[in-house]
Amino acid sequence: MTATNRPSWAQRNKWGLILLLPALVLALAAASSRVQLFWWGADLHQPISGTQGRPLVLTDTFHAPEGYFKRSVEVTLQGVSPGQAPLTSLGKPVDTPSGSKWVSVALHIKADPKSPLSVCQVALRDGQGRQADYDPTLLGMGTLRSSPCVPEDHPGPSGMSAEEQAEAETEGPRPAEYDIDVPMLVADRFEAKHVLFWLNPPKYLKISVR
Amino acid sequence: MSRRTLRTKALTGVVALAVVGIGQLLTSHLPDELTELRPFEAAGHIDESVDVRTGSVRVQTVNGGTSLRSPIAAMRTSNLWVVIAYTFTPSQTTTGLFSIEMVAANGMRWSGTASRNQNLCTSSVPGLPIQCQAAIEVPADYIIGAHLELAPTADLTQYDAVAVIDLEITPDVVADWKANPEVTLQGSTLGAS
Repeated sequence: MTATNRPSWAQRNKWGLILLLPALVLALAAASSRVQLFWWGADLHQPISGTQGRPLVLTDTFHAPEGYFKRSVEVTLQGVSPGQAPLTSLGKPVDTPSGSKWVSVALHIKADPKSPLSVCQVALRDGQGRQADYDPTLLGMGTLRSSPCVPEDHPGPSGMSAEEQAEAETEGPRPAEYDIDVPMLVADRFEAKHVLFWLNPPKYLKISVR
Repeated sequence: MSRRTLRTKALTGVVALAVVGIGQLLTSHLPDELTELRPFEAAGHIDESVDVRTGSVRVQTVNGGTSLRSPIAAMRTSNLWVVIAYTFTPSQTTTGLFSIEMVAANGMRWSGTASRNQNLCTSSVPGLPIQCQAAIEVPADYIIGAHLELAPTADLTQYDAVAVIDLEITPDVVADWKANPEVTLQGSTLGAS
């Protein structure tokens, strides 16, 4: 055999080189499952964007001991305005912490009265990406209602079991649609650009404030 | 064996040795297991603001005494109660500061949540400070030169940011605290002080 007929390194390693690319892709894909498991589903990563005054629909599938269920909620942001301090159980306004202010988020909500919605979360996001969540424990338990988006006297069912559904019926069913004001505590200089609404991450509504 | 084959083999040997050498060099510079688990520490002093990933923390006062009066109970000790007042201001999200530990010069650690200790610090929104207090029971003989470690997440400071605050505890300070019959723990409040 002459030197010119000898197969080159690339020819000799042809199959290794061909398989190298899919092997790398497979290795990356296998490692990326951790992103899905530990990061993607744990936070807000799938926005459904809209603007104030226009209804947006959030649909998700949730797991309860009785199985998997689908629920859908239509949310319309009616406005974001300076708010009043919520009242204590004695009917007096709570003390507003120094350096903060109250903002009222007016929402119109439409959902099946049998859907559990009390797990919902509301947050404000400003132009710098800072996010102020509705947190009922900020000023101590009992100061703010536990859920920001259901009426306190008719919150609807907390789950899908027959007992939870019956309990909601006894309290009086949640209206099929209603207006609700969410009192949000934010720092003095916080200017809301978006209202966020979600049930289970990663999907969420991102509504621009006009 | 032809001269060309010999040269190729020699070159291969040199390249293999070089690769092994570079590998060893890289390995010697990579962090070992203990180092990579170490948090990102930011040193500070009392009344100095220190960034801890989710916000900034400022230790305002440190006081000690032989009994602790809190809104719910009074607790005596044969050691010392140290009460730390600090402010935490979240930067981006609604959160609190959930880990506080006192660390002696010899490495002994006392967590703000262990045993009878308390860390009264709830959450706040971005830009709004929260005034927090922690009470930690410590043996007086070990705390000279101790520092404080504050971190965003409870009990898991690996890879995370930790503020390391020099508490400036001297023998005179310990003597004063031993003579102080009571320190007070008031709880956390939202808002600037």
